[in-house]
Amino acid sequence: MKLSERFSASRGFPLLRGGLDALSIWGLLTVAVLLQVTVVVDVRVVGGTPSLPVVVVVAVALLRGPVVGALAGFYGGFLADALGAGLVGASALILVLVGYASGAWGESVNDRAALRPLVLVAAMSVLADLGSLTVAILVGTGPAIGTTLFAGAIPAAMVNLLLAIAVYPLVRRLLRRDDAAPSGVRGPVTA
Amino acid sequence: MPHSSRLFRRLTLAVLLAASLASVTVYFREPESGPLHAVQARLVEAAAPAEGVVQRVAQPFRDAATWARGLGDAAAERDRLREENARLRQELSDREIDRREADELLQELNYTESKAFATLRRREGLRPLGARVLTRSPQLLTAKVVIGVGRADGVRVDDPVLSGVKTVDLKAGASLVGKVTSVTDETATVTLLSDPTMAVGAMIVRGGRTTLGVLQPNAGDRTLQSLGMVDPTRVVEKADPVVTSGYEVDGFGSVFPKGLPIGTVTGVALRDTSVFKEVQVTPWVDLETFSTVIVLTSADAAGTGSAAP
Repeated sequence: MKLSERFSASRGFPLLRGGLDALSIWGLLTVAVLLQVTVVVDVRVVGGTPSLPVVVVVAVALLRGPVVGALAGFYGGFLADALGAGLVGASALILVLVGYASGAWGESVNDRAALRPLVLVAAMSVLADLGSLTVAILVGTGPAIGTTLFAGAIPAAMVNLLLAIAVYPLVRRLLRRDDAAPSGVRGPVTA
Repeated sequence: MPHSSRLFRRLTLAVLLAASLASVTVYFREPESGPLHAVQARLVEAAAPAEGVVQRVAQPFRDAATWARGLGDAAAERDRLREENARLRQELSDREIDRREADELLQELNYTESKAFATLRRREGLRPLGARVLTRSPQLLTAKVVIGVGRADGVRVDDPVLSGVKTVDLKAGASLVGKVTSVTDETATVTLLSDPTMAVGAMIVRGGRTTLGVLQPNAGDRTLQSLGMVDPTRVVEKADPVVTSGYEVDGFGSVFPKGLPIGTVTGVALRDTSVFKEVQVTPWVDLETFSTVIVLTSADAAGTGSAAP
């Protein structure tokens, strides 16, 4: 038996397991944000820009529940704002809500339907764009970016959905834990 | 779900939301040297090497994507420019046609107001009637056009037809293009000078002397005319003007009044085997492109149509 399998099979060292989990999520989000601010930000598909952090946060939240989802959203959003020279806290605010809502939804739907995470990613993408618009309106830049956001929201959601087809299985594989369950009472969505 | 767990979740969410809102507020209000700006700057600085690596790794893919997008954009741009080019060409062509037609009309107006036409009107009792060319004969063997005036306007068979033209050596403003050969109530068919069946009694005007001949289409080039039966002893040179003679020459009766401009001499030849000079004449009017005409109708044949000015 491999070391990792032996580790997965064991029920001991919960602190170590939690630490490794956190490390994996940290790494995933860091890479996702780095890719977002360096490469993905330049990608335009029918006027919309895909958002890798949203996809990863939704995937993590589905697999680990609302608390971890919200924490992942906060970290990913804060990092994205900081590295993208944006309004620090704005993306964090949105991704916290996205992570929490996705995690809560993941708990309430305990099935293996492969399409549900994808649909959730698309829906959360649109919500994240609406959240961005709300924040933009609050800080006074709404009219300037409103049109762009509205025009790009649906295409971006579709591209995020396509991204999720590749990203969600990857995240699930990295965070695989045989006995893991989200912090709620029901099991994780395993697609 | 246990109550404590639910409370923990909500507390976590509330703390994270509060932290996010606090970050936004602080960042928004603090100066550039504020703590959050400093944290941001340090994070950017710390991530710079990693970003550099990602950029380098991603660069080939970005280049490929840019190239592919550029191809798509270039193709779309090419198609758009082609359409625009076609539209502009059409506009240019329309304007050129309008300009040419305006020139023709202006020259025809000048002709009808000229002294030459006043004399002609007085002597022959002619009335100018303006008309537009409706159709052109598509056949190569004939040279005819249909114009938009007819019997109802007073047009009769054999009426001379002129078209306006502006050239350096033609002061009259209009030049002969043919004659009416058939007429209906609303239209008339004009047989052009370049039609093989046409022959016009013409004369070359040189100083105070005239040289008679019969003008017929050039067999090899429809844009040219050949003035035949020209006395070889007469002096004829290039650029001499050619007008209608009004005479019957060797059985070729002339339906045209004397002095209607036709063209200019562009070539003279005298062959050993020929008893006449061969004179090449280029009509002033391009017989394949004019679009408006003046029909010189008899003043006593006035119809219900409107006369040219």
